[in-house]
Amino acid sequence: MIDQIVEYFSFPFVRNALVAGVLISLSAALLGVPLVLKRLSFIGDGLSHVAFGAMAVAGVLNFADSMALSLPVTIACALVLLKSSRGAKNAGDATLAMLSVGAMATGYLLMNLKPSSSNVSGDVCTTLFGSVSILTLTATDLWLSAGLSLGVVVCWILSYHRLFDVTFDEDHARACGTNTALFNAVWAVVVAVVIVVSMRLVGTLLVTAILVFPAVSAMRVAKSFRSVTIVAAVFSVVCSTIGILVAVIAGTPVGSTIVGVDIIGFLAMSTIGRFLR
Amino acid sequence: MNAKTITTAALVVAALAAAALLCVDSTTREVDPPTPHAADAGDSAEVDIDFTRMNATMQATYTYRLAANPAEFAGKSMRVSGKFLTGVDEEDGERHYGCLVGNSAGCACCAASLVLEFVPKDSYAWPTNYPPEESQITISGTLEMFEVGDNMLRQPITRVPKLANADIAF
Repeated sequence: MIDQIVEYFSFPFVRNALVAGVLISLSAALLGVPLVLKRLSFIGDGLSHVAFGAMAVAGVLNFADSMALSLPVTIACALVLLKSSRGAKNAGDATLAMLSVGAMATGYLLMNLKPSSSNVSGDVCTTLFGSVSILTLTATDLWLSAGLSLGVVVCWILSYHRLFDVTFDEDHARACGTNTALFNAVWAVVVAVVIVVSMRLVGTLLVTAILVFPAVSAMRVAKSFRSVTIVAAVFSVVCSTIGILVAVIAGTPVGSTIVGVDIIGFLAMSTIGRFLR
Repeated sequence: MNAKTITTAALVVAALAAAALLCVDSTTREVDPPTPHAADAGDSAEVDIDFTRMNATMQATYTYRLAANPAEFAGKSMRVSGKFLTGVDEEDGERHYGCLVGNSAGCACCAASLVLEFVPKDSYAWPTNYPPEESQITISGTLEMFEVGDNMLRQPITRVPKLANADIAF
């Protein structure tokens, strides 16, 4: 087993996948905690479907890199949906549903009407479930994903205190002088970036898992905002690393293997949490 | 935002970036190590990339990489298994041979498949030395980029990857 792991580590694309996977899962975990606390867990699902539709349009228009279209489109949708958390609860629910399924259906239709490769079903499936997408990153994909993930980490560190205020009591944060409208807009952009980048790790349909599982698992054992975030980050990085390695060695799809490890980790953390109480 | 926060952010980014730079191999042409000996393919010679020894995930990865950027693998020896396909080009009357390489990467809906054309060694004569169509074969050869088609100025307009000097086992 150790020999096998060492052998697979000698492949550059496996090392690249692990680096990208660690950075993506770290940024997703940091973002997942405030999203879960603000009851916006399904925003990842909706925005990833929008990104899928945009990727399909990019393929039809022969874009060299689909992220050139999927990122701005997803950011625009995120700004519409997340501009105010209060607004998102009242009116965003139906809007999210319409955008999500509309983009998904349109994307799949376009991919079938004007396929960019001879293997449409394989391309669609690997985009939806991330079966091997993290292992097929080009150098550009890798540095872009890594750079964007690091940017998210920096944003999180620099805005930690404001994020804490806005997450728990937006009205109080506004009363204290925080420009919550601008803050929410900036974080909408960050959410969109994380979701588009995370799609390369786990695929469109499973993005919500790497946003939600680390946060919910961490809340089983940690109590403060800071400790929950740190535990979520460590949980996410460890599960993603194990998931990628197991997938490469056992020959299973990478995205669903990572989510499977997340599920096992969540059950373990729940059990530990019961003993700690 | 105080100096301590900015310093923390800078240190975290620097640490992550340093770790990434140490681990990532971002050379424009990745150098994959050769896969181990093929156990049994009618030919025990070592090849650079042996699809017959890979699991489903690695096969799907290589299939996608080969389809997306075949020039990356030019000059590498390969061994692949798949379905034997053949047909005659209506324009020039030449017979072409291919191998449908594909797997399911763990689930049937995510099949990554590719028709890899091959040019057999001169010792092979159609149809005497060839298997039945759509039968399972294993081919070994060196991937080369062939220029096909030309324009009015006789400039090639397409580069197609093919396994050259291929041995066929069936």
